[in-house]
Amino acid sequence: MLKNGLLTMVASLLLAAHFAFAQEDVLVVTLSSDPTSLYMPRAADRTAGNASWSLYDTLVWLNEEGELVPQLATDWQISDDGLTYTFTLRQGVTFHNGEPFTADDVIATWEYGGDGSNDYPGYYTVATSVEAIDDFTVRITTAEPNAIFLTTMAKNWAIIPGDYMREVGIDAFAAAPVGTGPFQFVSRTPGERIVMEANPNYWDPALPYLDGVEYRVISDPSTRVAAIQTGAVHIANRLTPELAESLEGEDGVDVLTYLNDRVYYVAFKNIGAGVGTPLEDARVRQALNYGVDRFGIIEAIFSGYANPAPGFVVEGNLGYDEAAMAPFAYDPERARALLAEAGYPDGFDIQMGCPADGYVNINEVCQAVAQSLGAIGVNVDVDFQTTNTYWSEPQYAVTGPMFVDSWSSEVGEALPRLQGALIPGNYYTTWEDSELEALINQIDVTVDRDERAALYQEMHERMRNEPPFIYLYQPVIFEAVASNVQGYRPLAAEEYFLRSVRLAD
Amino acid sequence: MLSYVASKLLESLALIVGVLVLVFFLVRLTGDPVALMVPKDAPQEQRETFARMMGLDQPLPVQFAQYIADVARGDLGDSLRQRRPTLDIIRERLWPTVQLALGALAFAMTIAIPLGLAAGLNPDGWIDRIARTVGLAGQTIPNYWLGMLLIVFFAVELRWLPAFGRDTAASLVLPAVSLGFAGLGQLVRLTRSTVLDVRRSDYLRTARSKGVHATGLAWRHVLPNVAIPLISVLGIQFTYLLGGSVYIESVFAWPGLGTLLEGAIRDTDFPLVQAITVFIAFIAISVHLLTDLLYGWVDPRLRIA
Repeated sequence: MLKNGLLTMVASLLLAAHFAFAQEDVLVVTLSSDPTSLYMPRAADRTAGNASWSLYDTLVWLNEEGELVPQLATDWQISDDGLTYTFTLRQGVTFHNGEPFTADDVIATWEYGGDGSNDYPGYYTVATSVEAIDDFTVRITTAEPNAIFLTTMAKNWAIIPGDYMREVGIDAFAAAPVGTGPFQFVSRTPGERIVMEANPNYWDPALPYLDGVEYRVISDPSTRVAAIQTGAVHIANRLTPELAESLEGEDGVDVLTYLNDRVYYVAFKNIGAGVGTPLEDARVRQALNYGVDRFGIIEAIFSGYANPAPGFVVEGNLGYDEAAMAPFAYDPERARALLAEAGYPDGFDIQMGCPADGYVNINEVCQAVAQSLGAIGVNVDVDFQTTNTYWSEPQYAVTGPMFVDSWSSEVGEALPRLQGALIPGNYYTTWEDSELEALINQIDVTVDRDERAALYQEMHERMRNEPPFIYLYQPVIFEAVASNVQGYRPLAAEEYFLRSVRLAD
Repeated sequence: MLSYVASKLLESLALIVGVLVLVFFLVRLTGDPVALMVPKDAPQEQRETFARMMGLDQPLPVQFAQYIADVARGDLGDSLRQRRPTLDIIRERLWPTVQLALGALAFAMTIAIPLGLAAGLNPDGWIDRIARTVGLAGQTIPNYWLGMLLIVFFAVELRWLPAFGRDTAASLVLPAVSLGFAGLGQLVRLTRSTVLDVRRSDYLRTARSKGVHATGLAWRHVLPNVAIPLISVLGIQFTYLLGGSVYIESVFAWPGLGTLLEGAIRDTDFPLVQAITVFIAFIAISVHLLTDLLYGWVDPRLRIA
């Protein structure tokens, strides 16, 4: 009787279930967390940014090839002193609410973006003025020449309708966002889904190809895999290598892998706890680079799914040159010889901080680094700390003379991680090298891309001969994509744009 | 009765104050809140501005007094990431969690109570053996593991039920079963042992010796006496399900308080974490209070005590 009752219950619930896709081409994409906001200046995390970008356009866009291409600006000029940018705006563009796009909206985007309550107001306040020359010409001024200003705009300045924003304010705007983007906001159920439909008046009449996009929040990676296995979603992102392997041979699902623009490294200190240690000798720092078996770490801990990092300039970055930038070889003999040359034939003892559970498999990585170095006589005492403590103080004050960390970049070049980890005074800078500092500052104000690329190469040379870090690895990202999805090209920073994605029959 | 109610109310109030103290200081023990909340590469001045804005530059006792005053006014603070009142956010996510907890409780009760009764009335029979196995399984199988197993079997292999989300009534089945299974185990064991106790009692022996029919015995004499401990356990179960659904909600992408808490922890949105914890504790205490009062009403002996 009990059994019959159960069966009846299951059967009646099955009747209520219907989870087939509608006839329309609606792409369903997983999000690993509920976006904090759909207003770009408050959508700092990758998940929120990805969902938001379907709604907006920028003046210039950094495309999948890393080139700056026109979007809401059809043309732009940079003054000779590199301080003034003059944009010619696209005419006849309307926002989802019908408001026409003009120079005033660029001003509003800048004004509201720089609000102190946002995540990174600095992305907007880097421009000291934004003026309308006429309805379709905008002049933007920066205080100093800024190499990545256009990239910063491309990555952050989602153009918003000024009149609407001034009428409702940031909070209400975030609840019902409006842009000029390929998709327009329909609804959002907190913790569950965000629904968008194609913008019928998109300025590029060919786009978008889809009728709509639906984002589903699924925080557990194995559930994201189940979701794509059952056909309930088309794209399942942020999978572990094990889960990605479990999908091999699955009908109708392809596994996509690409390198993340993130470098894991062991930082040396020549300030704080690093003063007076053997690390001050460049030969010792080279020895430690030769003495860490990064290839073995990648094989053993990441099943081969990571790239050995050649330095801070990595594959996909401006200035990267595969032929000239090989990672340090694993050469314990050479490491021991260098140590002996530096006056440490028997090695030495040293402490290395590790952010416990701060990143995927980082505890194992810290231990493997210590083990590798132990083999060349450098006895590493791994100091595991909770991430709250680890990242709460200026890094030079936290732990021993070395510490493990990672730094990403989403601008297609190494500049943010170079600045973050090498400009004195920053929280994570523990290595002071005036020559490197000068080079970074020069890169920062060099607007010409080719010149900048050459500077990155010079930078790489210096960072190899006088290494401020042990370069470890660059992780691989795994996503599962339904076979009928076309034109999906995520970028190295885990960013994706759905405007030119389509669903095959 | 009045003094019983008053003493229970006082007890609950003391509990709430205890929870507030605990939550406030535990959150601050986990690290410097400013470091948790500002971006990793924020300059020092942004850190200081932030600390001032949040009142985090004040001495701890001052911060605590301010916090208690705010809570008393029903203000649990603003979410750091979403920049709106935490209570508004909690309200949006409350119903799915209640729904899931009710579903789990309904599932557990529907199976556990008849099974436990049948087992207790026929100890050592085959039903009893099933009941004891279910009881043990419920208490030992971790619910998130069961959840994943159910997803693989019923969603991925058989395609009978959705693997995640809250789209249709069918979406509730797998999460409710996974969440309710532990409660089911406990309920079966409790029902069974209570029936056994009651059957060994003097009043039942008297009734039996008077010649009351076996069915009459079960309905008139056993059931009402089993109901009393069950009510209190159901109350505890419900609050446990409300607070304990974090894993299950995450496994099934169920948009309730559990996934909200998980996200808040990941985003280091500590006012939100604090608010959810206080909120769940508040509900748990209220339910316990209600259970106690109901208990007193069902069992007149307690009103006098």
